[in-house]
Amino acid sequence: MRRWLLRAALSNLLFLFFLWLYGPGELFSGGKERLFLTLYGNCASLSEWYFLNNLIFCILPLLLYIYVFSSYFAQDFKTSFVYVFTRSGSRSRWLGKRVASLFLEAGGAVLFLLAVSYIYASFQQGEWRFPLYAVASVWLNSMFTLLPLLLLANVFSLWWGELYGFLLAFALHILSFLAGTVFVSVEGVNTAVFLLLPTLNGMGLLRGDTELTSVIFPLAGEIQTIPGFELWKSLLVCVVECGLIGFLAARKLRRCDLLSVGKEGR
Amino acid sequence: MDGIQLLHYTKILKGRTVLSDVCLELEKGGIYGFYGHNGSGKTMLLRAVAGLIVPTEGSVSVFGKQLNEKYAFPENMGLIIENVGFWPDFTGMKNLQLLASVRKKIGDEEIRKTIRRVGLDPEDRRVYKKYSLGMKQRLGLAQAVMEEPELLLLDEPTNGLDDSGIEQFNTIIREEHSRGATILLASHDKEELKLLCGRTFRISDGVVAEEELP
Repeated sequence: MRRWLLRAALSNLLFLFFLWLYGPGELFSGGKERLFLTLYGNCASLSEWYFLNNLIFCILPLLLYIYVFSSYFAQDFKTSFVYVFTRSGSRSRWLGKRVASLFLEAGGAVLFLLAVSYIYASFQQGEWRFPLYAVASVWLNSMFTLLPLLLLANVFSLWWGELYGFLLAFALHILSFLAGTVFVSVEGVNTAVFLLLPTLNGMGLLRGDTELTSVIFPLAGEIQTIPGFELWKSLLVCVVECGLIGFLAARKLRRCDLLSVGKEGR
Repeated sequence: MDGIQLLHYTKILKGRTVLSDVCLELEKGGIYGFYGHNGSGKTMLLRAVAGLIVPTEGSVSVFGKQLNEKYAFPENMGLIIENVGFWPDFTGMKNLQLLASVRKKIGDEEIRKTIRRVGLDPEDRRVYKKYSLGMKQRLGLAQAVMEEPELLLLDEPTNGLDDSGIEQFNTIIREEHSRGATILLASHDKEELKLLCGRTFRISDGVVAEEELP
């Protein structure tokens, strides 16, 4: 119950933040669309010199979700590892169920926030300059970043504690963003770098060549795009990354002593 | 062998041998007691049979099936082990309903009957974290027996119980034994084991030896 309240509070907090930014006037050139994309869409302009501004507005929402959800497995494990595991008969089955419900809850939480913000902003002055289905693209891009990081944090937390699980995801999220600010300005950097790092993989503004993101793209002004950085590739990489993390976690879980899992700070 | 068999079972944890070359054959349907001082390996032995730990060497088979990666836990097992396993913000009834929903073998009526059987009230609205130690122990016993398991592993099951609780516990163990369950009891209390167990074993520093209690 407490976790549900935390998540609801977080969503509302982010919405209020959007409200506070948007309400008094346009903080960003490009209006509410640009703000929406930057705040929720992981749509950083990596090449802009005031990247610290982007760091805060772009990184923070997803970072807060990582904080709330990074102990999802460990908290359930502490209760379940004796009486639930031994009833279900399979360690992997527990993990599979937890992964599915983590993705559903995290995805649902972000979707809820996007929906509420979109509805609120729709009643403000001026028309939205991108269609509703573009919000779906924003959500999808957020998932490319959030899901692998959450899975990594949760798996890590089972063996090394909730704090270290969160710190790992936190470090990867920030360092990926910082790496992106360097890579985006360097000629000839392989697209694979942007696909493989979860934070960069979800950066919608770096795509310039799909019908959907071309709707968003013109609104963002002069943004450097990455050749070959396509939505379907990002989706594939996200699925592969999550699948690999899940596979390795299941393998380790099947072979370990259950008494050693779920202990803090080991 | 259709009972429980440990074959040269050794477990080393952080450089310390917690179970040393344990060879045991326990027939199905018996009540077996394990006693020893704190840290002797009683709990670890039950964990080994439950499938919660993986052997460093050797193997364990339960009712003819060897525990391994694919067959991780014995089927149809009830256990009291560790001080975890319940959701602190739910009532006792709700906790057992959640656990029963994993196997879906029993309904609310059977759960209520089991809760009364261990001396608790199924309508008690207190949440688990407000329970006394004795109540927690009783709920632990309830979750262990509610699905009529074939195998019962009970680690210090009478901790925190008063005299009436211990008597109730002994009655339940005898009833489970009559039903045909195989029961392994770990305790530092020899008197408790003498009363209930057909065979008893002494554990000391991970070494298991059969010893008849005087």
